[in-house]
Amino acid sequence: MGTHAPCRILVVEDDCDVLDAIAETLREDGHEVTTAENGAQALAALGSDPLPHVILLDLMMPVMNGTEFLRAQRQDPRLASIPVVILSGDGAMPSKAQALGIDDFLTKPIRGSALLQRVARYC
Amino acid sequence: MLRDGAQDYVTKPFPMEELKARAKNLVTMKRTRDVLQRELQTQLADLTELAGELTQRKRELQTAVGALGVARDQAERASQLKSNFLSLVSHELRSPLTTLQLHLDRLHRDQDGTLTAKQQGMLDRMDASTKRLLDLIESLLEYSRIESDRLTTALEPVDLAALVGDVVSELRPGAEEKRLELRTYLPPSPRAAITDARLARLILVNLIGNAIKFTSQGWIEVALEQSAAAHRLQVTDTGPGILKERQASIFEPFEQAQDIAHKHMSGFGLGLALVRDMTSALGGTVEVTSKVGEGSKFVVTLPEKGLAAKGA
Repeated sequence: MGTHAPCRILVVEDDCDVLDAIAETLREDGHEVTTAENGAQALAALGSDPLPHVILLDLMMPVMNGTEFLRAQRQDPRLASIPVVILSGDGAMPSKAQALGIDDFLTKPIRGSALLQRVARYC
Repeated sequence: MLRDGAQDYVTKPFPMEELKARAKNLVTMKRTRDVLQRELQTQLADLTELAGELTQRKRELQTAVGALGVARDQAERASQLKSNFLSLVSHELRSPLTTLQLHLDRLHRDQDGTLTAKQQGMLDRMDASTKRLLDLIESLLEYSRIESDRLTTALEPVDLAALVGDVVSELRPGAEEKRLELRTYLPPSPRAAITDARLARLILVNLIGNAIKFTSQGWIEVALEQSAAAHRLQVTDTGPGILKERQASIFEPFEQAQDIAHKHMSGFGLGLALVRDMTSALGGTVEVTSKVGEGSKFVVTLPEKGLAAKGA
């Protein structure tokens, strides 16, 4: 168990192995985790309360990708203020993050310690 | 009369001599004109032939230019495809690496406290290999960016001493496995350099990684020296050393392959080509001094202020 307040986290990632690894790492640290495999599932998961403290979002996903999800999330006043951390496989993320209006991201491969530290910022 | 088309005229009465002289003149003139006319015709024929040849050449050139354009477009498309492919591959490889890394980290945290020292050691080595794999992917990606002129630098204050510490502790397991001493010399009060942290890190990873790879006994020393104008990163090893005549070409890509084929000594792959290109993108230089049987020393000099030296 972590030494901090537990956090509600929504993880959106299409690679099931990565999704499981992230979710298990977070749960072992005492967090409450909801998972979604694409943007559409994520929006559905956000339909009911309570809302998460933070969303971890992959960008390259089928059905509804991360960029489309971000647009929809920002247009919804109920969801717009939930902080989003991008999970990126792109080494050139710092420049892209700016274009997306996102200032927080984790570059894959993600270290367990980095993941937990980042999430703790939003609890 | 001349206006009516006559060649010449005499006014009556005229002396016979005058007439003869004039007639002779006219004959000479006609002969000269004939000669000139023939000459002109020959030259005209030559010119016509030349014009034909030129038209032919022009057509050939146009065809060649067209073919070149097609070839250039194809090359550009191929290069673009290669870059896209590499970035896709890199993205695809990062996902399983993330899974691997996260589960390794979970094991490392050993929440049940059941790991034996042996298992912990195995985990450490798996960890080191995972990092090496990632560094390889990063290097490959950087190389493709450099090749397609898409390398961008993000300059910011970078604590090089801390960076050296990070990379050294990342690569230490590999050195320990070979029983090599890996030591660092850092300035007592290090100064931040204005440079690109990602590139500086890859430069260190490649140089220190090479030193570990090619040294079979002895030590490796990583030093940071800072003067007012520059930051000097030095990686010294007690490896096999590099022949003097080979020292210039080791920075060319894929020299390693040739080396391994010809002599079983100090070969390098993409790493040093990458180090050279990344260093130069940061406005710096890389130099090697080496003595066969004693070891090698690589010195990367980065300017105080990013690319200021290059005016970029």
